[in-house]
Amino acid sequence: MTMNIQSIILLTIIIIVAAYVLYRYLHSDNKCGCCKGCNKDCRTR
Amino acid sequence: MTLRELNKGQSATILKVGGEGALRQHFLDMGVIPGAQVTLQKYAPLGDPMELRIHGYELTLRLADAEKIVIEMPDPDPSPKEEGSRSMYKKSLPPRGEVGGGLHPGFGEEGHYHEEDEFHPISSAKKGPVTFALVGNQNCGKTTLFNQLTGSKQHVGNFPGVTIDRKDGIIKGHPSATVTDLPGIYSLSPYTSEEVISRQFILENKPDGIINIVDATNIERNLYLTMQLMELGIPMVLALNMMDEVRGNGGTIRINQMERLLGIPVIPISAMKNEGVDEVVSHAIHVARHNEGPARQDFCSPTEHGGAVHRCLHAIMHFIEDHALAAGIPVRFAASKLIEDDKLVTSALHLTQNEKETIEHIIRQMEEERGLDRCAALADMRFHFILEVSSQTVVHPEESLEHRRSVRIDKVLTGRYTAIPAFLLIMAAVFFLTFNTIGGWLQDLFQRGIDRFTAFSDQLLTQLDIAPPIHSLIIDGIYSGVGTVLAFLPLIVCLFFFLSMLEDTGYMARIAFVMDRLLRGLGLSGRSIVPLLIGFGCSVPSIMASRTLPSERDRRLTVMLTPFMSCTAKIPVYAFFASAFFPDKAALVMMSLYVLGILTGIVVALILKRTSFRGEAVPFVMELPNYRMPVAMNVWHLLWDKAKDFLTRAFTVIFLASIAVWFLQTFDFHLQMVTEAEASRSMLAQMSSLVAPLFEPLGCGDWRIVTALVCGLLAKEVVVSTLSTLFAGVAITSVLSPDVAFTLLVFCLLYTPCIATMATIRRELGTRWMLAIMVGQCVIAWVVAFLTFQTISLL
Repeated sequence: MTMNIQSIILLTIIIIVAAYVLYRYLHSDNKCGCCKGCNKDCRTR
Repeated sequence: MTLRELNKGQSATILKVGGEGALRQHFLDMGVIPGAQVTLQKYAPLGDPMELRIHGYELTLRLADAEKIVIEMPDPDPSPKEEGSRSMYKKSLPPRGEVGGGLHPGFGEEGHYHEEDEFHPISSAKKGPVTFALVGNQNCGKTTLFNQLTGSKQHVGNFPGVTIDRKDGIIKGHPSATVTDLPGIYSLSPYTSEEVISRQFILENKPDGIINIVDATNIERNLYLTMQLMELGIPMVLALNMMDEVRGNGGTIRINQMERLLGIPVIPISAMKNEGVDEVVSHAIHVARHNEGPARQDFCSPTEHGGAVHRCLHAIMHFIEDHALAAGIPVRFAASKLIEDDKLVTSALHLTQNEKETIEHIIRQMEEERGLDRCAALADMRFHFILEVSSQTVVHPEESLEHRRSVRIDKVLTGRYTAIPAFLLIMAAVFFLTFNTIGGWLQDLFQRGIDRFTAFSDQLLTQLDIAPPIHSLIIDGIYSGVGTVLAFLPLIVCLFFFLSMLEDTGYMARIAFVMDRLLRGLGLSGRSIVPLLIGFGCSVPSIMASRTLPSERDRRLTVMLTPFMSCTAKIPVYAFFASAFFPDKAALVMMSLYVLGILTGIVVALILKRTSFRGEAVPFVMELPNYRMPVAMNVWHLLWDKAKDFLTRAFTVIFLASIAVWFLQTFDFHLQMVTEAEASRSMLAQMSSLVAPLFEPLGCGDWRIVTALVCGLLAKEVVVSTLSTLFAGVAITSVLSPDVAFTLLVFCLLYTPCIATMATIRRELGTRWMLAIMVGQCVIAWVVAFLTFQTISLL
């Protein structure tokens, strides 16, 4: 299946956004609960 | 005679406080100490717990706990007795010495305000950022003060290792001053996670100052925490909140006198009316920058009861001074906690065995001389000081307007025959307004907006000639998945609006009081009733609401039972099958499902109570605050926090899950797109077919039904849309029999909750518990559905 340029751009954007969301999700949820020595900046949930 | 034998309206004096561990410490921290006068106000409608009046406020206590408290009836005496324990102490109080003569540091209205200028240079004033901890009891207006201090400049997070909310904010007008809102606590004992968190925060983070907010209408109990905070030696100010109520009821507080007695700045405020808040900030920043700690930390009298407690404390303080310094713990605080047998402090001090034994001897000597055990002796010492200060500075009104009003309202809301009907009526109103009228209307509006946006995007993608797979990913995957969940937002906000109204008015505490006996049979306390009820609307806010439960055990158990409360998302599924298979009995079928869910939840709770959740019951020692009007700003902040939290989850977990499900539904294993007619070739359908044999014993072995159930993990309503798609052109009544349809409904009722719920559970309890609930719910659903199918087949 061939895709036009706008489809490729859109797909790339979706992949980047999904990867970023996945990264943030894996690294931010209750961070302070899963490691020792977390500092004051470790506040996100 | 024990407190349990007291009759309604009778008063007595406490002689001895029994129990042990956390329960006993709770009693003492709440003022249930030998010598205190207590009056029984009423029993809960179901006979347990009881409501007592002590130290000028209402407290709930279970009958089993009341049995541990020995009391003495007063002598028949015609002379009128004062309410509370003030009369007990007033006669024997010598005037207490004052500290700080009104000069340097010069806090309060009378003293100098220590501004820095060329004639009054201040040496070693701390420059740069200052941090504060905001500490106070529950129901003292702490959240209101925090919101007044910070406005919108707040950040919500959570404390390390626990799911307790942590709020930080920049103080308005002082960009370099931040304040952290600590959980509402009654003491610094290490028995609840909130108390431990607060203590740890103060000792480890070392804020530059403490803002201690106190309910001035209930000052005696509130000052108990104040004294423990003063022992920490950190610069602090005391904000007497609700002073407008005190004055309005004809009372007053001699602020300057109180300052001289306590040795810290005391500022009268009304956080709700934003009165005095600026002065609190000025004083707090002043004491923090100049490191002006409390001028008094010694509350024990050298003459009272032979000075037993005084000598004990000071002996231990001298003894452990080096250890406390090395551990970074204030000496007086460490000594008090050692006497209270605080394991955390004991281990932090690294005492030798010889030192521990010596300290134990000193404490035993004190107990012998004092005639009270160590914890009671310390609590008595603190309350004695408090009542002394109170007798010299506080003019109490006869009975406050707010209390009189609360008593009148409680005649209905906690009355023996009216409490439960009133509760059912109020909850019915909350649900009706949330799901039928306000919330329902907003949800429709939201859904229409989402649909319009989806249609617009669909059109735009077509115009841009986007490739069909990408087009489908965006519209059928992301928009459909995220949009379905986003449509819940108005319901969540609406539910939490009403929830916060119930909480802020003080009615939530009454619900817990009324329902405690009922829930104790399931191993829970009355406080769990509200999250469970909310679960009938939506599991996500229900699980979020469980954060208010003080016990980790109770919270876990409540979260585990929430999925059994059939949420509104399942109603379309019930309605779909009920109208197709049981058109004349649809309402009966749906009601039976709700009842089955509750009964299954009760059975599971009883099993868990005897297995994974064994252990002592959490004490139900709870204050019943006066009824108050909610503060609009607090409600707004809460709703904004919840909405942000929900939106964050929708655009992370749901976003990713939607993409994953779409992919599995749209492609086969050769990564070829499948059309609707070829749906059985998709990866999802193929995987569902592997699982379908498991459903044969339930009569639901059709791959289309299993696929719909799998899709239901995204959101329960998706079961209906998936079935509609997969059974397009075929009447479902020709594929399934009524028996199988009902069995399927039972399975839908009980199986794994939607992904939004699972994501919330994961955040609250962790991945392990989430997986346990996921698998457990499926197993329970299968077993109950199997039994249902077999029973129906036999009939």
